[in-house]
Amino acid sequence: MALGVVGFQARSAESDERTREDAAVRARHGLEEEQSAADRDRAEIERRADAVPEKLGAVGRAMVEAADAQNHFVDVINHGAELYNAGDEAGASAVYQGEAAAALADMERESAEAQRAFEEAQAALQAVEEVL
Amino acid sequence: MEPTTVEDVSTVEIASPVRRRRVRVVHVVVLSLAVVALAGAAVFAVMSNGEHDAALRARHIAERRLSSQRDETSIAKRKLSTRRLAVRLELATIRAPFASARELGAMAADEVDAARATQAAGADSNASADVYNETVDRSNEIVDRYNALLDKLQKEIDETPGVRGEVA
Repeated sequence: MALGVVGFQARSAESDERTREDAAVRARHGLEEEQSAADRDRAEIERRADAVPEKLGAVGRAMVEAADAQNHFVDVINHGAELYNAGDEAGASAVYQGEAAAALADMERESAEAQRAFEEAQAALQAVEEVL
Repeated sequence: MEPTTVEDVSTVEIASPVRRRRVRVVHVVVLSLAVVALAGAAVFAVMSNGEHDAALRARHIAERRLSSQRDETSIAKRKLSTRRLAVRLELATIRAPFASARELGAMAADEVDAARATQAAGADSNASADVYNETVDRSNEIVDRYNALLDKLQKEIDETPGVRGEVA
């Protein structure tokens, strides 16, 4: 009788232990998921944050390219002005219609490029802000 | 030595046979059942205790793992929180070059307009020198502001952490 009681008590205690073990395992799985989510979020923040300085560097470079194109345009029109001032109106006109037009097109292209680089950088910045 | 007297056998009372107590089957059965029950109870108790011990060990292991996982999760969350804060601080320094770049973009559009007017005035043989010079002055004024702002942007970008490559 006593052995039976001991046995049943042990069974009951075992059942309690199993219940607590299950609870601990479930809690651990929950924490594992939380850890994975935290690691994923951190990796995503890193990835997006790394992109911003890179894009910003590209903006700076594009702006410099645009400035170079602008300086080239200024050189060309100065050359046209020199010809004009020297009395070579036809030569000056040819410079403005040819070289200056090409330099202007180049300047427009570089300016648009700089604007695109800026928009990409802004999108990258926005992408980081979304995950913060 | 005295002579042995022989009793007359007819006077000897015959003793009744000793009644031996017989083991009843029912007792054997009951005893057997009791032994079996005892053995069963003992086995049950031993097995139950064993399983209880196993469950206890399993619970301890599960709780140790839970505790360790709690630490790992806490570390992961702390790292995430630290990184978020660091990135927020980085973004605060990045906002300055963004503002300059935005302004520079708008100025570049004005500059292109001014250059277009200069080129058109230069190419137009009917345009006066005054008109041409006016477009050049406007263009120069924008270029000066553009260059000043570009210098500022370069400086801000240089001070921004993590920007790879030289701007100029």
